[in-house]
Amino acid sequence: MSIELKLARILAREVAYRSRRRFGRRGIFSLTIGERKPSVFQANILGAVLFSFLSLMMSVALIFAPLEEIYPIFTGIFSTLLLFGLFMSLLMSISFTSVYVSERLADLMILLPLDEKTLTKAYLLALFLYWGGASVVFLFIPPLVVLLFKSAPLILILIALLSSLMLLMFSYSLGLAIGTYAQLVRKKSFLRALATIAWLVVLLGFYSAGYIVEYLAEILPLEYSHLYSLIPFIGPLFYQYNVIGSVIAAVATIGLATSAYLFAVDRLGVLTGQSPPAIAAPRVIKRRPKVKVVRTARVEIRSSLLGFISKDLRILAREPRRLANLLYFVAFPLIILVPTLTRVEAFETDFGVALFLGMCGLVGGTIGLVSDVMYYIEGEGAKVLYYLPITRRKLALIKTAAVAPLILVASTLIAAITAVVSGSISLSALILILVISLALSTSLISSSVTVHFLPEYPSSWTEATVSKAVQTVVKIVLIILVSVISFASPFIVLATLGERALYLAPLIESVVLIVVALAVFIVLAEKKPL
Amino acid sequence: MTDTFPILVAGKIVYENVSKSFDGALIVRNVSFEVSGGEVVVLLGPNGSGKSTLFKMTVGIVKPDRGRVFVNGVDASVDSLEARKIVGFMPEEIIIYESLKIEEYLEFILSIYGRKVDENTLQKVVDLLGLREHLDKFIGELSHGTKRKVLLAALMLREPRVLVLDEVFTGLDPVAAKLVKTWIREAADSGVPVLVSTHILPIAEAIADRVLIIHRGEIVAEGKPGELKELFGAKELEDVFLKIAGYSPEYEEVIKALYR
Repeated sequence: MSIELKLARILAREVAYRSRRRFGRRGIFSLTIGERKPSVFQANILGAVLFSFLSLMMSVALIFAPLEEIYPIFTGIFSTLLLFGLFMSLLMSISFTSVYVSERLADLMILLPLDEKTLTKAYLLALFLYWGGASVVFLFIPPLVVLLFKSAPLILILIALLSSLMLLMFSYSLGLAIGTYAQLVRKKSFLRALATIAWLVVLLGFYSAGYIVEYLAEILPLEYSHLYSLIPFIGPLFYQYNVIGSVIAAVATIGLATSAYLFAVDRLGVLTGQSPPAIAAPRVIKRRPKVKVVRTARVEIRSSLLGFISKDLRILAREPRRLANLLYFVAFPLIILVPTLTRVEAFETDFGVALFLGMCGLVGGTIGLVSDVMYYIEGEGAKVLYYLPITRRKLALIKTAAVAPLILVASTLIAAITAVVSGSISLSALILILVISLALSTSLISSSVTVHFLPEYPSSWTEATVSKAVQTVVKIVLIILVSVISFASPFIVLATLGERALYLAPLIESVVLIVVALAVFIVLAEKKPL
Repeated sequence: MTDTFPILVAGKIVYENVSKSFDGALIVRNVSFEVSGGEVVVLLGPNGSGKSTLFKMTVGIVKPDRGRVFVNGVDASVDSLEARKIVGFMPEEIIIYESLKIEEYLEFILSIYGRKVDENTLQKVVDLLGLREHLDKFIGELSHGTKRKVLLAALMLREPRVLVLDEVFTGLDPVAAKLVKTWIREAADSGVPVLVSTHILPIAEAIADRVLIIHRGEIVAEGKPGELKELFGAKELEDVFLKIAGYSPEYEEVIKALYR
């Protein structure tokens, strides 16, 4: 094995280990990264199988289509695959590089008696071969193979092949270059906001791809194909609709891929320890300031609860990935609820109102599950807590209180839309109480379970600290519990007490879940220190 | 220095026949000693001799298999919550929130302990430890030594009634080390029991009222620095330590041979 490959394997393992320590995760699709001796096969097989399967499923229409109808079907499928490929390769290269940079692994590289070329090669091999980067290629293989078997025009196959190669060059280069700014992101609030939005898009894309594809199919009809030909990377595929547009897109594609490549080359020094990572924008100091400004230290002592929450929110605001995760937990239920909420007819019948109350209860309960994120943001800092006089019970309360502002914002939003659409202030107020109480209850339950399973000895906390099995079971049980209570309560009230008593349902739901939450809290969140 | 550092309240640390094993290996063997209020006791010992294990027992993070550890009369393994309120503990490893700034970290720690701090003391501690120029940085950007200074600032402002400082001098520059020595002495003079570990033997000699040497989990020597030197016929505390740790002149031959 060459020195580059050996180093690549070590690097990938180290990034996987650091990533696991920070986020409790390994490579995105890798099976065994972080184990003793990961092979190229093991690092890519899961991604390759998943991508091939997805691509093959999409290519089924191609297999059965007659040759003369292949072109429009292929352009649609391959464009979608290119977009997905762009997304996945960006995600892989940014996640790998950002961990590498923020964990200062370049400091280790510079100590090695190896030239920059060897180090660069090792880095790229680590990303492609041992981090699962190569698996993205499998997205493009099935439709191209189908085209070959169908004896489709060679020009189409060539254009598709070149487009996918250009896209991979562009996305991996761009991801690598962006990732090198990981340390700068922590310092600049504007960049943190951008990174948070980017991670939110990633999460929505990853977990809500179905909705997005459906939406895109709805808003992007085939009549606009001549305009699609202008889009870089995708445009060249649409040459039959607009040759000039495709040529323009091809030039733009080459330009973008080359620019991204040059950008990445410019940033490679950061990865091999040859140039310092971006910490602040470089500037020329023209003259020394004559008067040194001495800043007074300010410390505002609050209650332990407020002090803790303030610390949590500060850390959260500086962790774009975790903040996006938390916002996603709140945004996703709202995305599902809002279409129902904005339909006036939902409030025209008692059945509609009962159904709406049930949905609001479920959304409230789901939002409450975000409290787990507040534990993971502790990371390495969690060890500090083991030396402080804090009980597990108090910690469960603190973490629930820390998500309360977010719960308040989400519930106010739902209540406000309800008031506008239904015109009923009393219903809106009840929805507010319902969402807040259910969200806080599930948050307290989830938090109590988490503190119960936290390690006894000083450890850092990540998504992997509490076993996935426990987390999944807790979430499933809570969603079932909340669903049953939320949907059963209004309909039982409607059937037994009549429509006038329907507004009692949210209060009954709230009381029941609060009682359950308190019981779980008392049993699981013990009064013992960490 | 009484103007500079907070006045502390008296206490006592008692180790009573303490033993502890991990994975079948006996790390601490039947250790008993006391640190009285006003006394600075330095625990010396080679790496892995059980010092940190003994230290962590004072806040109940490690519970002895046998015996008990008391801080100000509180059994740390029974009521570790109370022990954590009493003890000002500095772990050997730098354990801190790297994404906070210095003021934010101090604010968090002092809020947890409900400790009000007057403006004047805060500014003095920040200046003395040379932290002012780092106020706008994230702790993660600071050097190892500066991170330790942040931990020290939090401890100084907290004014704990008992001090347990594990390798507190590691990474500190001479100025900061001198300040910490003064702080330790000042704390002891105010009646606080101080238990310290360090591998820097001249510092140990300078601050210790009493030295304990632990080897393979057992206290093998105890006394004032002068008494120990006399007992072992040594010029320096280092010689006492090396004798106890079983240092052999043959080791030097092996090391010298590396460059031959």
